[in-house]
Amino acid sequence: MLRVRMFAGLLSTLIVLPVAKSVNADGVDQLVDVVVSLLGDNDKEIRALGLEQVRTASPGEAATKAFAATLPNLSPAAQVGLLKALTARGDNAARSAVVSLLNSTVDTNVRVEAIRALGDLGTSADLPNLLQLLGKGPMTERTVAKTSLARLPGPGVSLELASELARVAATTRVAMIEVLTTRRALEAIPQILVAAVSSESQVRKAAMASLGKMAGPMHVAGMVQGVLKATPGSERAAAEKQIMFVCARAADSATRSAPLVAAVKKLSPQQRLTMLSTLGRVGGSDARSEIEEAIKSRDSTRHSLGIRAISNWPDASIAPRLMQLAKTDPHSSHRTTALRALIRVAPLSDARTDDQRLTLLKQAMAMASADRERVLALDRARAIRTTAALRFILPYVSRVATAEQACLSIVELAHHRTLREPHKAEFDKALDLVIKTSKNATVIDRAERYKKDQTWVRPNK
Amino acid sequence: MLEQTFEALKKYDWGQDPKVLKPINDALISTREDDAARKQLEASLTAILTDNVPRAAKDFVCRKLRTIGTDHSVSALASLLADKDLSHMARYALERIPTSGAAKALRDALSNVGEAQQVGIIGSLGVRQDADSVAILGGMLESSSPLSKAAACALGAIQTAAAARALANSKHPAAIDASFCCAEALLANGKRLDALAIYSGLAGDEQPKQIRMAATRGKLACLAKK
Repeated sequence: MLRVRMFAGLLSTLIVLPVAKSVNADGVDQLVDVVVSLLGDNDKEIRALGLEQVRTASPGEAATKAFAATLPNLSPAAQVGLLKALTARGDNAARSAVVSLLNSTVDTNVRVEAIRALGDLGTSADLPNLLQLLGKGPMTERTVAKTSLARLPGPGVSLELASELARVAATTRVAMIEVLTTRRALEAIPQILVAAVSSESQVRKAAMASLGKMAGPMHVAGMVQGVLKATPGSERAAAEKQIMFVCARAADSATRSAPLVAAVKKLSPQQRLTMLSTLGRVGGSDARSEIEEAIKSRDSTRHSLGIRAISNWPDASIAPRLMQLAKTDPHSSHRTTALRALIRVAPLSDARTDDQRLTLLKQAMAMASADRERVLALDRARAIRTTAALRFILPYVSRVATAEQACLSIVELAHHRTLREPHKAEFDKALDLVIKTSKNATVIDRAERYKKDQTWVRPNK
Repeated sequence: MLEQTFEALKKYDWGQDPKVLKPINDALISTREDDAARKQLEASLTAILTDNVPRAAKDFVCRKLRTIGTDHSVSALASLLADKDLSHMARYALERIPTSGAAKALRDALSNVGEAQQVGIIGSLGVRQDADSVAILGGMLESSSPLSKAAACALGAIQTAAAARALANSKHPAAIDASFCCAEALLANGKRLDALAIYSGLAGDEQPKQIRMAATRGKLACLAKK
């Protein structure tokens, strides 16, 4: 029971109802008045009652404008609350009040919330303002402006944004490309292709990453220019992968390299050499012939690039050729490159059975003459989740050079409960060997946990 | 068979096997469509209340009259309202007898019983949502504490605009809860104006925050509801 002393006479005086009489006539207006009065309350919990109404009640432009009109008169904390509520209400009749507040306030929290609100309530008219904030605002405002630009409604927004790409500084351009990617602005791809050959490395990287997500086969020729423009090394490798992603989206895997091969054929001989690596990443019969031509070449550079390209092959269909190269290529470094590629592709998931994948890996292991390749093969063996793989790894625990990798691969296999539990005795024996052999505390800890059927959470990278 | 059971009932006390009374329970069901038999059953039960029988027997009868009682049993039940041992069982029956006579019996008894029994009767009038009791209960709001609290709660249970007006004059803290009960019921029944008036009275700045918030919510609900 509530304990309140000041109650006498209150109800009797208020039950006379001048207020109530007008409810039927303009009930909604009266509700708006009450909500507006609540929004200005000093107590945040009372304000919350009003904000709840702003979010959900009194639909219509008039009510929205009445709520938004209170913004200039509120405390910063109340302004933030009302901006959030107006955003949730989703009626862009509040837009002009939000813009006015953004232009007049210096309070950081209010500005951030107003920028965020424009993401839902704004129009293409807010693009210049948001772009300015994206380029010159404090970091918090830039971040929010970016998310608002990504959400800004309107059919022409993405195109307008794309048309501004060439006119802004590099940092802003990177952010804008990311915004266009988030918006999945396919209509902006021509401008992004231009950015992919920019003189600014950060712009090129952002553009190629964006194209990797949005582009189609018809854009591959443009992306090839991006690869050629990329600085050799990590930037070029990343750019090549973006083309690989685009080609991999092709419905027919047999013809996935066709647009790339067609684009490459139009290049100069030197550029075609540069693109060999990309052809290798994409795979496919057309790419294969281009690469085989290079491998056959007597020119050592071209031959070398051909070997490197075929070693990038995305699936195990290339295994017989890699095996042949690993055995017969006249250069030892090329044989090693081919063998490593064979070890990489052998356990890849495809239509082959686990036994076939393991057999190929064993063949690669048998060809390895150095411990470095043996360690690599043991590392890849963990991708074949069978007890046969465990039995393949086990003998290498007793060899000093391969012991640590073998131990790690065993615990990786044991990590998979569905494999470990049905073969507990076999795994326990292997894990005992790991505990006895490994010098790595984490590996030992994992082995002990798996023996006790406990889990182990992989730390975030 | 039933006559033998009524004889057994006259001697029935707690601790005995209640199965001996099963024929009466069966008769309650079997007479559902038979007014004459039901009337006879009620009369037989009511007669027990005036006999000198164990308390357990009268307790049993009150429970049955709660189900089948009519104006014919009101008088006998009302005679128990002053009895400190049986008042609550009499009220238990009278609360459910759907006649104005039963309500009147409860109201009339208010001036003839002790304070403890008065509190119970006030509660029963609330349970019956007896609108005719509003004036009497309103007059009790300023009386001694147990009665005024009970009267406030009963008015909250009656849930009419008149009950709310009666509560508005009370200084008793229980009147606020009761007023909210009235307002909620009025709003649920579509009487927005009445509900809004109550909520508006409770939403003023002079009220504690929790009351102000609850009243404001109610007020918004009244205004939002079309």
